[in-house]
Amino acid sequence: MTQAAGLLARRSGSLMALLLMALAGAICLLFALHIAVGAKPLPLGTVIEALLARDPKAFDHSIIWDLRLPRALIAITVGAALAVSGALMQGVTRNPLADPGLLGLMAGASFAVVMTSLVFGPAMTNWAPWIAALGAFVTALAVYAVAHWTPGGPTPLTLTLTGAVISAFLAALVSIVHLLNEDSFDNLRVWLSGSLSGRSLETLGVTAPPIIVALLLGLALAPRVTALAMGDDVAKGLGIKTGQLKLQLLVVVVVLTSSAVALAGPLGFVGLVIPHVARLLVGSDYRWIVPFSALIGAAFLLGTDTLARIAIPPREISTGIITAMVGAPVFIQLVRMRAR
Amino acid sequence: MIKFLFAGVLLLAAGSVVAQETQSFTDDLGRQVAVPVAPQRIAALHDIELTVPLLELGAPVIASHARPGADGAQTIRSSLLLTGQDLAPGQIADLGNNPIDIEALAALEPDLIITTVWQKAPVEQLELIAPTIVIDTQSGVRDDYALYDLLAGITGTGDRLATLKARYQAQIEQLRRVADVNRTVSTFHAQNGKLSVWNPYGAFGKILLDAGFSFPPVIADMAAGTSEQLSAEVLPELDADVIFVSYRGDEGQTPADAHAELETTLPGYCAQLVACQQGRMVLLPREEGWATSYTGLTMVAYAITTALGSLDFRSFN
Repeated sequence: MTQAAGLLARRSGSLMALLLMALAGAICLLFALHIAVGAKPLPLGTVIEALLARDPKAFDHSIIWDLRLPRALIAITVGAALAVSGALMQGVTRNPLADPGLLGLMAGASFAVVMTSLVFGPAMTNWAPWIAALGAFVTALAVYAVAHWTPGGPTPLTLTLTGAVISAFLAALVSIVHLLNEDSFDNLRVWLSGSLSGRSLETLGVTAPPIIVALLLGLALAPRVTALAMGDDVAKGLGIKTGQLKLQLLVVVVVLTSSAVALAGPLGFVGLVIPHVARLLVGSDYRWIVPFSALIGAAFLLGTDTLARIAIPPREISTGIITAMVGAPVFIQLVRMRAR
Repeated sequence: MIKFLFAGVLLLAAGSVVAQETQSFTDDLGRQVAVPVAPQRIAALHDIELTVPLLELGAPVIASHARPGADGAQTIRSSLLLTGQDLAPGQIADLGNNPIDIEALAALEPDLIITTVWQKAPVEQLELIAPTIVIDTQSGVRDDYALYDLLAGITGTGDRLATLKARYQAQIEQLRRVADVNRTVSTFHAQNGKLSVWNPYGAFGKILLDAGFSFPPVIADMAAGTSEQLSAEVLPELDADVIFVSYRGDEGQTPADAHAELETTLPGYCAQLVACQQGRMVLLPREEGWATSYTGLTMVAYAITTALGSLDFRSFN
């Protein structure tokens, strides 16, 4: 998988940089579209006026500043975080089906939110982002600890298997809660399906800094991931301390995923599909896969969230449902393209 | 002597069996069921939809579907609040949730089982225990309160139902006398960053509709019996002369939680609602108005009557 050349892999670095800029431009366009359309139709002039000179008393301006703008920024942040997290997971585990959920992060986040809601009641729903982040982080530690105790230590295989087992276990516990207390589960159903609605800039303000630091770390580590993706022996032959690198990458993945879950709930498919799209474009060089994943992920989530908001106005569909509906056929098509 | 005693016991046992006169009933699955005319040991397999109405009708419920309450203990949802009765050893037994515990049900020897299409316990097993009636409460076969007519017919409690209906009608008349029904009203709550809207919104919506109030088009145009999760961008379309917003009192929420949820959904929401700005947004606990219950209707009708009588409409006139 990692050896396959991408459509642009043999092109020069300057062309890649140009393409990255084009992607950034596409994100700007999608961002503009995201804040221009929604359940309430707003004239373009009103949107521009709201951006340039906000009238605090005008509801249309409030729609732009308080609803659409935070949501668009969150879509960009979460899309980039999950896509890079997935790319790094696929690189470090050398598993094309790896995604941020592989280490039990998504299941851990969901479990933590469901259990705290069950024990402390629906009032805890307001704390769901932080509980989710904590749950993801603790689960990642548990997966690493269990993998560490297995013969051979925390290899990609033991981490993958441990992550799968703990994910299944936590999912079973969530199902038990569902069976025992459907009312509590009802309150969380939207959050569990992955949603960007009702998130404020304050929440983004807290989660964005660790995401930005983790993204920068991911970019810095990306060249060594290319070597790691070719196998531990190759990486060691190139002088890379593989154990140390894997630990650093896992920390980056945990920070990116738990922060993304804190913002949007357990959104599926972004971390699985987007790295494959990036790999198809740029080949197996993680120096390019990581930044391309970040930008494509941001664009993908901006687009799907726009669709979730305008598909059947004035109703809203959970963004996670749209990412799955769009992501699944895209993934199948990618598999077909790579198989040719 | 022993032979005479044995024969007597058999006669008494046979007598208890034949004493139950039966009637034929066609349930919502199209099954013809011979049910007792006056059942004495009813098992109800849905708490809000069956047990609470049956208890209000004074029917002899001996076992019920139940679910965990806010404290984790099994409860017949809303029942304590609406009927004063809950699960109690020797009175109303806990059958579990979905599916219910069939063995526990069999041990209780009910003479009638009433279940819904929602309940997963197989009807084939239930009907081996006692005559079983299946009611469709999910696909809009009948409205919520028509269910009372059905249950009263099955359990022979029509007189009690007539009393409940008369009381409700008197309360609607009182509401009409106290409030100007030409005003518009709106009912919703915020959840998960969206606006949850029903047509009608439980007992709140039914009372307001029955009294003659009108709703904003965004609610009135919805199909009857449906709900929507609307974008916060349409919040001003939910504005009305009076807004009723509910919160989950049964789960420990307070009016402050309802305000907080609205604020999360749309920061500065109150500025976008004239009713809120002018102090005509009424916050009510939801549980009393969510079950299909004549007691609930009574409670909510009184709350609405009181609220509408207390609000200041001078800025309107």
